[in-house]
Amino acid sequence: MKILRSLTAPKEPDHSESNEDFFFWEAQGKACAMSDGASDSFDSRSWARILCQSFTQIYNQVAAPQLDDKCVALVLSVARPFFEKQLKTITTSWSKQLAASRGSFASLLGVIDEPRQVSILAVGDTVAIWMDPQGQLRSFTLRKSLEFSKNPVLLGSESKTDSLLFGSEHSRWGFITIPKVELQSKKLFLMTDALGHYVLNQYEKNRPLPLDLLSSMGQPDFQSWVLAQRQSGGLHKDDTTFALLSVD
Amino acid sequence: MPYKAEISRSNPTAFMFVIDQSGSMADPVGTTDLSRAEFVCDALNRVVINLITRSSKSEGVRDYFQIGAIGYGGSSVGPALAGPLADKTFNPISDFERYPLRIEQRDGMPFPIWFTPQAGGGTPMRKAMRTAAQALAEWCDDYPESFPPTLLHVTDGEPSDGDPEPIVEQLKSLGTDDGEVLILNLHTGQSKSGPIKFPGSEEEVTDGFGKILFRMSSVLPTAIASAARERGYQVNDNARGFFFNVEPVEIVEFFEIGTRASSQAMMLR
Repeated sequence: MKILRSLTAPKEPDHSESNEDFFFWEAQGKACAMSDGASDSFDSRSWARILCQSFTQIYNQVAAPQLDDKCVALVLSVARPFFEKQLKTITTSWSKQLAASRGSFASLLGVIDEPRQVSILAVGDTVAIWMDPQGQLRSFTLRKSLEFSKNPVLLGSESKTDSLLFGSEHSRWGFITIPKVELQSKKLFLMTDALGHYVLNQYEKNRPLPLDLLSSMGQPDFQSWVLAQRQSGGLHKDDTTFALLSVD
Repeated sequence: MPYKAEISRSNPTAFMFVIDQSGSMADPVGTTDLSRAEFVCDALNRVVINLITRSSKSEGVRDYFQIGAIGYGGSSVGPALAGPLADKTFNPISDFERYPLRIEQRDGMPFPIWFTPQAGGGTPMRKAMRTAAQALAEWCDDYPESFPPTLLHVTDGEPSDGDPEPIVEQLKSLGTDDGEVLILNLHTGQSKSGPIKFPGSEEEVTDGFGKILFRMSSVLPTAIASAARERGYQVNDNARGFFFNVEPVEIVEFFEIGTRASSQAMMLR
C-alpha cells in the first residue's frame, strides 16, 4: 500500500491544533486508518489518534486478517487503556474531570491491503470511496449524501456504549472486502464526513467530481480549496481530511 | 438562511438568562423544603456546567459561548452573578470555569456554584427586559456574523412595573446577520389549569398574562424544535419557546433544550 496523498484542513483555520480528524499509516505497513473525533466530546483528537494507531499496529502484524466483530472489540481493548492512561495526565481541573466523564467518541475507517483484495472496517461517517471498472462511484458504509445528516454510530472510549454498538446500532457499521480488480486504477479514497457528503452529493447531481483535482493537490492548495468550497456553501464547515491510497 | 451560522471562538454565541427574583420566588415548591429560587439556581448552575463541559478540551475551555445573567426583584435590576463575573454583562464561558463561587461534590462529582438564591419584593420585569435589550443590542453590534443570542426568561408571576411586551417586541427586532434574537419564556406556577409546553397558538393559552408571554416568545427554530421532539414533546412548526404553569423542576429541561439551539451550528455530534 502506498499513501499517495494525505491532506487535512481544520474547521477553524486559525486553530489547526483543534483539528479532531486523524489519519495514520506506517511506511512498509499494510494497514492504515482514518478517524474523526466527535466535537462534542472531550479530547476526541487523542481518542481518534489512538484508535487509528491501535488498528494499524494490530493489522500490520496479522498475516490473514479476518474482519469481524471481534476485531472491533480487539481495537477497543488495545485503545482504551492507552486513552485512560493519557486522560489521567490531563484531567486536572473540575471541568476536564466532568467533560472526560462523558466519554470520548470517534469514527474509525480501517483499511488492510492484502494480495488480491482490500478489507475495510467502517464505523461512523468516515467513508471509503472508489470508482469501479465501469466508472461508477462506490462508497462504504454510507452510500447516499442524505445519510450524512443522521447522527453516526461512533466508537466510545468507555465500554458503557458497547451494548449499542454491538446491539441495536450494529446494522449501521460493518466490513467489506473489495477485490482489487474492482478498484479502478487500484486507487482508494478515504475521507471524513464533510468531504464524503460533498463528493456523494456531486455524484448524485451529475456534477464534476473533485477526486482527480484533490489527488493532485498539496496541503496549501487543499486548504484553499476547502475554504473556497465552504464559502460557496457546498462543503460543511468541519474538519476535513482526505487520503489517496494506491494498492497496486 | 437564519440560525445556521457556525459557532467558533471568533464567532461565539450568547445566552442571556433573565431571572425573576421577586418575593414569591421564596415560596416552597410542593411538599419540598426548597424554594422556587433554589430550583432556578440549581437549573442555572447545571446549564452552565453543561455548556462548560461541551466546550472543554484537553487544552482548556474553548470560548464558544458567552453568558449573561440579569436578576430582577424589589425595585432593582442587576447582575444575577457575584464576584468577578458581576463586573460585565456577558462573560466568556472560560471565565465561568475559572470563577465559580465554590465547588460542591454531588454524587462523587464536582458541582460548581455560580448562582445563589435571591428573592424579595416586587417584579420589575419590564425594567429587566429593557436592561436585557440594551445588553443584547450591544452584543449583536459586537458580533454581527454570529449565531444570534438566546434570551431565557424565568418568572413565576406578573410584572409589577407595567407591560413588558412592547419592550420585548423591540428586543425581537434585534439580531445578527444570522437571525433575530431568540426569546424563550418559562412561567412556573401551580394553577389547576395544568401546564402548557411549546404551544403553537395563543388560543392554547387561556391565562391573560400567559397570552402576553406567548406573544413574547420566539417561534422555535429547527434546532430547538428537533431537540424538543427528541425529548418527546409534541412540537408543531409554529411552536413557541414557551412553558406556562410548569413545576420548577421543568426548568432544567427547558434550559437544556433552549441552549441546544446552537448544536447544529456547532456541528456537535
